[in-house]
Amino acid sequence: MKLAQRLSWVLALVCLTAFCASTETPSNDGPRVVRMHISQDPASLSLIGKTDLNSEIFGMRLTDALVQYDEKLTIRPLLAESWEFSEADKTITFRLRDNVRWHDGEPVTSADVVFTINKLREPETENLPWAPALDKLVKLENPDERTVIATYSEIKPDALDAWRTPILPEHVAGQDEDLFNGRFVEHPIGCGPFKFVHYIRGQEIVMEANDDYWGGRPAIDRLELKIFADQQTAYQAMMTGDLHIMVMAANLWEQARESERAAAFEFTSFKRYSVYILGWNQNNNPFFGDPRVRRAMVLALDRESFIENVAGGMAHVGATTFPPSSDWVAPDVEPYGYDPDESRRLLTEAGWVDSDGDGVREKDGLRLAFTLMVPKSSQQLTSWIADWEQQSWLDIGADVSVEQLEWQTLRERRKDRDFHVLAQTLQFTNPDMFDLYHSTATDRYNFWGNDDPEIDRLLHAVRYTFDPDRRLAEMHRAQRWLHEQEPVTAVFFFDAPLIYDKRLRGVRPSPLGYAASIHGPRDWRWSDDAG
Amino acid sequence: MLRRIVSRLATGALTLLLVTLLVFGLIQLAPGDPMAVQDDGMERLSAADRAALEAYYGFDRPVAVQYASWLGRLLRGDLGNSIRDRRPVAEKIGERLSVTLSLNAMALFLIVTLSVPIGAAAALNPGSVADRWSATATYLLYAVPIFWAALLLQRLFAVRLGWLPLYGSGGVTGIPRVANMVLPVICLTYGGLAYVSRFVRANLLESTRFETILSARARGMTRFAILVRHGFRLAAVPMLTLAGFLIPALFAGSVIVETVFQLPGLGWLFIDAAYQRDLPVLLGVTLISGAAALAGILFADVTYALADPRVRRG
Repeated sequence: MKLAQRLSWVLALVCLTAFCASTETPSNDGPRVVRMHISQDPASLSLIGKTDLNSEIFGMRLTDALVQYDEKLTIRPLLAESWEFSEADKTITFRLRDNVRWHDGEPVTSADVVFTINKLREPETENLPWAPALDKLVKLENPDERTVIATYSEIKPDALDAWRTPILPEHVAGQDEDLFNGRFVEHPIGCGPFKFVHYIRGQEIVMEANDDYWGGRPAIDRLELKIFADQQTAYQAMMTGDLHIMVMAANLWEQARESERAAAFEFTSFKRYSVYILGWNQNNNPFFGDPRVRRAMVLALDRESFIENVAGGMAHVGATTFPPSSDWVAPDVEPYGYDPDESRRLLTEAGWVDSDGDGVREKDGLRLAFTLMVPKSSQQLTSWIADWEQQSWLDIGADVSVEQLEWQTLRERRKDRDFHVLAQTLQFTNPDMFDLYHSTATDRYNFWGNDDPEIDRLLHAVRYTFDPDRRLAEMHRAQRWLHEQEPVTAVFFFDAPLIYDKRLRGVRPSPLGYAASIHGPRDWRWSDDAG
Repeated sequence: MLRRIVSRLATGALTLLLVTLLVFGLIQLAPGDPMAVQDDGMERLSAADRAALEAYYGFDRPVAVQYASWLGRLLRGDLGNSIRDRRPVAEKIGERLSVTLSLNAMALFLIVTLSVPIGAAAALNPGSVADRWSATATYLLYAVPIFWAALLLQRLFAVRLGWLPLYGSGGVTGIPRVANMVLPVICLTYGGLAYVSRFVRANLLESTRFETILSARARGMTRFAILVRHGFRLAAVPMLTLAGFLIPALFAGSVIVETVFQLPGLGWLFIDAAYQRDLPVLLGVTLISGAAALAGILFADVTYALADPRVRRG
């Protein structure tokens, strides 16, 4: 008996300590805090070293870039108040804003910009978002404190994209021998709307409003980036008020909408420039060299009904890989509708006929039997789409097997061109689709072996034309041609389900995310009138 | 006795070496590398930059040379730097050790303190209703997947009742707070109950069959008194061994628990490193957890020998 008694005492004690320690409740009176979700620790707080999505989100709050996207992905001035392209000299000249100060009071100068860009371009910095786009940069000068001149070996209008890189203070970061283990990463400082307070790995990065921000102090006092690797846990954190804003998996978003806490949230979604594509390998198989076969495959898919019935309305159909919600899209290029009869007709015309009556078409003794390669995903939707495609293609006489592969394996197979059809998602920030389709881009993203002089010419024009109207006209031409040739099918553009506390105001998502534009946390504020 | 410990240490070190070699080999076989993972399949890295990075990390050298150089650094006490964030592996492990250690120590303590009375109660009257019920209940618990139990516990205690924190270690210092550990420890504990309580029961029954026990019965001692005075003494030895063997199993469980409850421990670090193909971190964590497991077994071995002269001589 004694043992049992002692044990129950121990248990009681454990429970008691547990309850005593958990009486902390968030208060409404204190500082105005917003807690937003990030999915993982940033690779580094160095802002430019090994930059990933989460360090980008952190970096955009801590410090400013010369330029930044707005919510329509149009480039807007930030640290640079103006810039000028010279096509003849192949230069961009930036004029920096006056009187901008680092969080420690030192002035921001052109030397900081030169330092950052040089550091960023060192191979050991391993910067992937911006460094590759600066590979044609040959000279960087700062004739005075407020001027930066960048000279390129070849210049294109989208060159500004790379200047979204966060700028680092040379007088702090420049002192560190090792960017990844120095004083700067311990306590990074910037010139952005929020100052670094602390970072607990695996838990949170806490920032506070910068009273001296040149663009005006943010309306919220504190911004906490809460790290939740697990969507379920993040969902629960939303329910308890530990999180105020996140992009949720569609099924959890639906679940939240039906929960008893639903009234406390705003449920919305935003259009992303993120597309689920089918890439038709035109080279090492007898199936997809003929554009009629590629078009037949698309016509067999009832995409509208899939979006309605399976994807919960959280997607829209694409005509080409140019995002339908963007300003680049050609209004006269309509997505292919569902037309199985036309699909069958095209296949027959291309020589694929079911002569032995087994339900599968043949041509020259070869069956129309191919493999659909898809990445393994925790999202159920991925396999639902694959099943649906398989079934739809069976209906028009194609025998399709689905191969689900781990992402790294898929990457290697893709590189070796060892596939028939590849399904994956892509994301765009600009209308330059050179790497995706150009015949010389086989070491980049043209895995499909697309080789078409007309498309090469159009892509080149889009890449290098500075006049906006002429450029847009070239884009539209490119879309018409891509739609006819269908080297890659833009099956769906996905929407992102967003959920946030109803009292939060000023949330303006961009196609890249709710905190990925010049707006975001610095424009957020709390309103108490919406109970 | 000393010779025994030394020989055990030597085999332990050899085992560890083989384990790290295995991890090293498996990562070489796995598709993708850290640079490819970071690029996330977007093919932004040019061939020249890629070659420069391979040289920087030493991936351009033969695999055997890479392993030998890792081993060489290890002998100088250097676990190398993580590839993901370039921080020293020792530092990364150090800041996460306390979470995993306290999680596992609490779970181990609870498993033993709960299983012993359950097992003893069952052994008191084998085949009785209490025996059968405790078996059914603990086996049912054993069958409940950790991630599911975690979700239910979170929903009930953190979301609905608001009694316990939902996630995190709660501390700024790295030392986790008790309240934050309650649910994770429960998740890590319940599965071990079946195994250990059945083990206790079997050993008690076994040990109370000896003649000493018979004579004790003859002296008029109750079954309960016999269990406590003789049974436990005899059953203590195999239980120590079992506790040693529990350590690796608990570590495996804490990988899931740490991820679900957002506890920054070694398990979470390990999973992340596996996704990132971060070889130095994988090897470092393997080494530390492997050493802990071997230390547990060695401890069990030595106490076994101390408690039982036959083993010592053998």
